[in-house]
Amino acid sequence: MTSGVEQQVRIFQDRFSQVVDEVSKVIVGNREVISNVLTCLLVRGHVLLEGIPGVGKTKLVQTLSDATDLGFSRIQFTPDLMPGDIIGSNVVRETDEGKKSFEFQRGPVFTNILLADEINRATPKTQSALLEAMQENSVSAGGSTHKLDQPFFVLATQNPIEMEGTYPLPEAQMDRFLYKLRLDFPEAADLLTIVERTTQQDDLTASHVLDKAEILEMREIARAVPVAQPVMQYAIAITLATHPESSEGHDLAKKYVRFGASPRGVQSLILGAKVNALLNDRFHVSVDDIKAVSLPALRHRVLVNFEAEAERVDPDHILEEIVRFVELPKS
Amino acid sequence: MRLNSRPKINQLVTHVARNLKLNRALGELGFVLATLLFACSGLLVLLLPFNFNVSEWHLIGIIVSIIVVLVAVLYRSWSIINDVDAAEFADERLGLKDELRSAMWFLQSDKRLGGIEEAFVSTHLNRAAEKVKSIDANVIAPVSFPQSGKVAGIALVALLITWVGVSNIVVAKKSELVLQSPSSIDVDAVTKTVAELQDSSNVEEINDALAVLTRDDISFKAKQQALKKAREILDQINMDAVMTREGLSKLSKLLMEQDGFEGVGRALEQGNIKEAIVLLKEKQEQIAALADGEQNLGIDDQQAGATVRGENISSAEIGDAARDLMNETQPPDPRNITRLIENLEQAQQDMESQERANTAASRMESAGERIGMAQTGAADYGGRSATSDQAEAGNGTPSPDAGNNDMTGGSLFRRGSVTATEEDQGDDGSSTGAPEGHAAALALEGRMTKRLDAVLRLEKTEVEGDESIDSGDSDWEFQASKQGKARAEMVRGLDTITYDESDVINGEFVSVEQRKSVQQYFLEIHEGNNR
Repeated sequence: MTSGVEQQVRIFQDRFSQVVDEVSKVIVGNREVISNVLTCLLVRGHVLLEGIPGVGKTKLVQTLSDATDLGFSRIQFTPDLMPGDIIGSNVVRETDEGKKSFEFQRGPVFTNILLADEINRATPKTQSALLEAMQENSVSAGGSTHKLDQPFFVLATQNPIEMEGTYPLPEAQMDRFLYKLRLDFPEAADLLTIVERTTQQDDLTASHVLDKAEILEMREIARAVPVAQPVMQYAIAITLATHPESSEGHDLAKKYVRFGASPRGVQSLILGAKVNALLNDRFHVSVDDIKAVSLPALRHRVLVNFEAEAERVDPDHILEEIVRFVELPKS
Repeated sequence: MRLNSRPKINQLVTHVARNLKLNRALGELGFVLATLLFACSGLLVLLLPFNFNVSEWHLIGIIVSIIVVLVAVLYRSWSIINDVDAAEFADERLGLKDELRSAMWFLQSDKRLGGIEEAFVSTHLNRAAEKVKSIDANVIAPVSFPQSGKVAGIALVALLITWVGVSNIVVAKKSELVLQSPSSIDVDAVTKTVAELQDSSNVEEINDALAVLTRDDISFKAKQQALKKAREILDQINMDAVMTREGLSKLSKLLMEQDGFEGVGRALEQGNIKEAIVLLKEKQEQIAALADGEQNLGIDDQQAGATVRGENISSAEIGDAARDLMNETQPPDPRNITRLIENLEQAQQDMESQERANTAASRMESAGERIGMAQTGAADYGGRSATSDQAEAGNGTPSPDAGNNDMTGGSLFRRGSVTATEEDQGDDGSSTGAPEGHAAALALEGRMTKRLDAVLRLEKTEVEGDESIDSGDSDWEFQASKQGKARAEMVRGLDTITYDESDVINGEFVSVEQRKSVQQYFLEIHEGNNR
């Protein structure tokens, strides 16, 4: 059994590396973002990608779907996008005999990897339709519920610059995403590579290195990593430190945070830490794993106040300070 | 599966925990010990001005308190570290990323997982057990002597140095005459003890009483004041004896001129009072046999009875008794002889009292000298500038005797004759102190005369007994006696007792009885000279 687990973990690591390597053939740099996106896929989470236009958000998702041989759909969110455009709608279908009946026409949500491009441009009504599917892994339409195929993985993107005509995601909906990842502008060397790769005659595409069954198997392994209670307590301590009203709240949180991380934040920390532990060839989750995933797991759950925005104090800075000062709870 | 890994992990963690406990206990004990020792050192220094004596019980109490504190600290430091803490420490030292800590938690946890999760836990524990096999606990957490232990050692040395230093200071305070405010209890105790010397005829008792002066628990100031009072008492005794001798001298002259009493007079002249008393009693018996009881020459019972007193007699009283006897034309009245005998017996007691007083004085001065309080002679009363004597010319030494080179006699006489409120202009009397030139001897109301004149009488008495000095001059004249010379030597160079220690500054009043005695003494001297 023990050797079997070690073998499984080794396979997990190999597959993970293969996917990341394959995606990195197309996406220049941002290897950590690729790894984090794959992590979310493996722990049944969803990702919110944030970055300026042209940094490869959409390309990243497309490449990931290519590498994993999963179904892929893309929805360009616009203000006139309706929920039915996402989840589908009942349409009247007439048989050859002339008999008419309603039939549910599946929307683009019925896929494995869904790219919700510029999600903040759609109305909240439309956004909430997607978010229900993300949370419940099912959609309700026409009086019936339709289960989504697994793995169901949503990657939403949003542009932080263009705020005009947008509908920022409500806090409750932001909380549904496991990670919020930032795609930074590439370095000069990376830009050079990007230009070289994208200006050739043939576009680079990723090969299939992971199929659906393997992904589901990896999901089982990732969730099986044990976590000792002291490590869980550390994750809880970090989460509580983001709460300004908590007695364990950090000073920065008390000053700049409007709302702290929700319980989903702790879940995100633990789930992300489990994959991080496996990738680091460990069979247990350590405090360092929690620290490693604290920014992507919590940054979109910490809502700063007006004072923080005025002083340009972003959640990342607050979280870095919290992680630095919160100590491992004593037994 | 978990049980296989448990012993190895537990062994390492327990060993590390023991080393950590030991290090922590040593460190905290050292710190606490250093703090306590430094505190004790500080306490010793702080208590120094209060003359706090650390008794044996104090020492035991302090040691017990320190032990209790150390035990409490030891218990706390030993129990505050558990195995999970040790595992955490080992993880940090070895960079194991919470592997041992998690392993310890899984080993201690009762939570049972199923399926692949349990397999993960087992794998994790096996891995941890494999790692700890090659780990030496003494390398991770070596037992080392803490820095606080060194500090404690320094504190111990500091305490010892402070202890020795404070002890030396205490000894120095006692031996170097550091003046302390005397307590009234000390003064009374010493004064009472020394005053009892008057009535003590046993030399051993005197020694025991004087041993008080060597006790360490009585302050120097108290001993000093007690000695001063004791000296006054002894001087009073000597002065009474001088008066008695004066009277006996006059009595012997009178009896020498009286028929039938020549033998008594010679016996008194030789200082043999006992023989004189025996002769008088024989004479009394003879008279009683010859005369009948009805021949009474006019002395009533009240007058005769008045002579029987327990007080010290003066020369005037002796002279009165003798004159009563001499004025009789008829055979002497036996009651007058009885009165004379009683006076002579009283004189005999005075002489014996003086002998005891002189013995006590000698021993007292010896004891005082041992503790640094030698006889305070006339020189200790300061120079003339400190008194009201404005005479520019120095008082001539009244006697050419060698050894009297400190002008003590002349100075003393002048000072003794100057009142406290009157300035001595030096032109109204002899500067030599000769009685003839000192006709205007002023009223003896000076506040320093009580001891001063007692010394004069003592020395005069001793001069009279000194064969080396002209005995023909019975008038008062200062002569340096042997005792005076010895005292002068003793006080020479003694500068620890300053002028403010004298009676003048202290403002003590002379008793009326003593003042009258001195006044009467001088008056009788003048009367004798006039005759």
